[in-house]
Amino acid sequence: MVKRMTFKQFVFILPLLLFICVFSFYPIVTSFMYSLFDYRNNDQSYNSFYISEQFNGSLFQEDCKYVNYFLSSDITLVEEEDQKEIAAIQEEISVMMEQYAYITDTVKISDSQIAKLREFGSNIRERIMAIYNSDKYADVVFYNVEKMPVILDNLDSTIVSSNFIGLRNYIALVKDVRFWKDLGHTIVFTVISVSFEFILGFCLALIMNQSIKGIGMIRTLGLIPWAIPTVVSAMMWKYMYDGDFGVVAFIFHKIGFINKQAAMLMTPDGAMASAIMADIWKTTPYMALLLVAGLQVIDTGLYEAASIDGSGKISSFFRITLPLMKPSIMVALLFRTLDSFRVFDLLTVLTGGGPGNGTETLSIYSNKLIFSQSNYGYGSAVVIGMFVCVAIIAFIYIKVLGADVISSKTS
Amino acid sequence: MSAGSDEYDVIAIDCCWVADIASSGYLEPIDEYMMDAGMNAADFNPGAIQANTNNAKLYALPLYMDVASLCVRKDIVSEEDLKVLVSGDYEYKDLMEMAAKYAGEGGTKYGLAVQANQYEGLICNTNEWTSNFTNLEEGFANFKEAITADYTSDKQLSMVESDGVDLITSGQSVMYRGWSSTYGNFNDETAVSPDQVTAACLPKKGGSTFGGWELGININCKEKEAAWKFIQYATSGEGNIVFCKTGNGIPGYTPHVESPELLESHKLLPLEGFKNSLKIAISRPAVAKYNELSDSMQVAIHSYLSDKSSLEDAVSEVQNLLDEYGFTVK
Repeated sequence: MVKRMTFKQFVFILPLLLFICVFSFYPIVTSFMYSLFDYRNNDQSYNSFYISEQFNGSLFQEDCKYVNYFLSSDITLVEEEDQKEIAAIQEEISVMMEQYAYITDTVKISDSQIAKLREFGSNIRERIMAIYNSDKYADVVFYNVEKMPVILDNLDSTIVSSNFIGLRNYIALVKDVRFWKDLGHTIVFTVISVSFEFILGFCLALIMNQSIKGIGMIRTLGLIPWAIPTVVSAMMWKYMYDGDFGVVAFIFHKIGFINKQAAMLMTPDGAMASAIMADIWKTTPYMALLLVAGLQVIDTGLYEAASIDGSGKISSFFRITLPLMKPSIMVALLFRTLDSFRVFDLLTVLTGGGPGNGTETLSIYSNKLIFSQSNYGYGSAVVIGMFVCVAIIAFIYIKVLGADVISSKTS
Repeated sequence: MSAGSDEYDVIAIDCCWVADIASSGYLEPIDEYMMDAGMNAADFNPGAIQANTNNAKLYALPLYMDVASLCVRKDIVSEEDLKVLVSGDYEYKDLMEMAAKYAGEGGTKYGLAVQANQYEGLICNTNEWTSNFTNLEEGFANFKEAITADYTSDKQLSMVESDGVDLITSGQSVMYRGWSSTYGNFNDETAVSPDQVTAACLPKKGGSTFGGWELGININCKEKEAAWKFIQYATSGEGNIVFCKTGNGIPGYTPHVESPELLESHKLLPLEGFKNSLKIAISRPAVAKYNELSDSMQVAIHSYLSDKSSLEDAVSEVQNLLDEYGFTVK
C-alpha cells in the first residue's frame, strides 16, 4: 500500500518540484501560449502578444513623415488649388504627428482614439489619391504615384489588431500537408531504424555479455560509432554516399543495389535509406549498452538448470533470456523510439531535409519555421504536435506494452 | 535588435534579408538622409536598391556587391563563341547548345555546371533562367533539361558552389555559373590556371542574380547622424574604394565601377563580361517574409527537378507563392 506523504517529506522534494516546474512545465506552457498567437518576429504587426487593438506609434511617425515627404516632391507638379489642398493635408498630418509624438512604441490606446486615427487615415487617403488619380493629371508623371498607395497601406497597418488566434494554428496544422508528410518521414525513420538497431543491438549485447578473453577490447571497439559526435559521423557518411567519389555508393552501384551512383543522396528513398543506415551504424552500440545491462542481471544458474533439463541454446534464449529481458527491452526501445522520433542533427547534415523535402522530419520543419522564418506561433504549434506524438508513443509503451520504467515492486 | 538594443549603430545585412529586417522595424529609413545629403538612389545599382526598399522606404545602401557571371575556359571555347558569351547577347537555349558542343573537349567531362541543390542557390539560379521569375514555364523547363543532360554532372541536384568550383578548377567543366569569388580559386596548384579562364555574361534577358552586403542604421541607435556619415563614406565615398580594392568587391555605387583606381588593381572589374553582368543585376524577390517564400519555392522547384512533380504544378505553385508574398517586378 502506498503511504501518504508527510509534510516533512514534501519539503524535501520541493526543490526538485521547483526545478521541474521551471525547466519542464514552464517551457511547455510557454510553447503552448506561443502557439495560440500569430506570433512572428519579422513583422511589426505580429511581433508580440496583442490581445486588444494596439497603436504602433513609432511606425506612425515614420510613415506620416514619408507621406509628407512624398507630397512635397509632387506638389510642384499640380495646379495651384490642388497645391493648397496638398498643403492643407500636410498640415493636418503634421498636427496628428505632434499629437501622438509621445507614443514611441506599440501600445494600447483608447477605442475612441483608434476610431479617430482610422478616420484620419481613410480621409487623407481619399483626398490624396483623388489628386493623383484625377483626370487633370492624366499626362503628368508623378514622382511617387506608385509609392503613395504602398506608404498609405503601411500607415493603415499602424493600427495593430489582436494577433490572438486561439486554436487556428492547430486547425492549420491539421490541414498542413507538409506536417503530415514530415510525420510520415519521421515515423518511417523511427520504426525502421529502431527495429534494426534493436535486433543488431541485441546480437551485439549478447556478444558483449560473454566473458571471453579480449572482451574489454571488443566492448570498446563496439562503442566507437556511438562515441563519434553525430555531426561528424553524418559528414563522414555523406562523403561515403557521394555520387562521384563515395566509396559506399560505388560498392552498392557495383553490386547492383542502386542503378546510379548518385542515387544514394539524390533520390528521396535513397536519401532516407542512407540516413537510416547511418543512424543504425551510429546507435546500435547504444542499444547494445542498454541491453547488456539487462543481460547481466540474469542469473546464470538458470541457464545451467535449463541445459540440464535438455534445453538447447535457442530454446533457452526464447524461454529464459527474452522474458527476463522484457523490462530492459521495453526501456531501451522506449528511449530509442523517443530519441529517433526527434532526430535532427543527422538529417540536417546528411541531407538537409532534402531532396525535395523527402527526408524532412518534424524537428527540421519546426526548426525552419521558428528560426529561419521567425514564425514562432506556427512553429510552436508544430512543436506541440510533436509533444503530443511523443506523449502517445510513451503511452503506448508504458500502458499498452507494459514498459516498466520504474518498478514499484520492492525486490 | 528585437530587445531594442542601441549597442550597434550600423548593421551589415546580406541583401536578401534587408526587407525582412526592415519590416520587423529594426532599421531606420534613409530617404531623408539621402535627400539632405543631395544623394540620389539612382546612382546606386538598381538591383541593390530594389532589394533594400520595403514598403516604399529605402533602408540600406550597398557596401559591396557580388554578381553571378559565367566563368568560361577561354582556351577551349572558340573566339567567336566567347565574344557572344561575353556580350550576353544570347539566349539560354544557345548556352545549352554551346555546353553540348564543348563538353568533352580539352580534357573536360562536362560543358556546364550550375547549382541545383535545394537551397538558396537554387533560387539564385532559377531567378536567372526565368528572367526574375517572370518567364516561369520556359525557364524551369530549360533549367531541368540542362541539369539532366549529358553535358552536366549527374550530381547537379545536390550541387552547391563548392562542388561547381571544384569542377571548373579541376578542369572537368568548360563553363561554370558562379559568384565573383570563383575566380580567386584558380592558382598555381589547381589543374586550371587563372589565365585559362575569363568572365562572360549570362544571357542578358535573364539577368544576373546579385548578392552582396548592405549597410543600414539600427533604429535604436543614438548617433544616427554619425552612422549615416559612415554609411555614406563606406558606400559612395573614399571608404568604398578602399574596401573594394582590398577585398576585390564590386562597388554598388555606379560611378565607382569605372574608377581608375579600382580598375587598375581589381581582377574582375576590367573584364567586359563582368561589367556586362553588373549591368543586368537583378535581385531575388524583395518581400518581407523572404525566407518563407524562398523555402517554399525551393521545395516546389526541386520537386519538379527531381521528377516528383510536373512542370505545370511547379509553375502554378511558384506563381501562387509569388502572388501570395506580394512579389511584383519593378
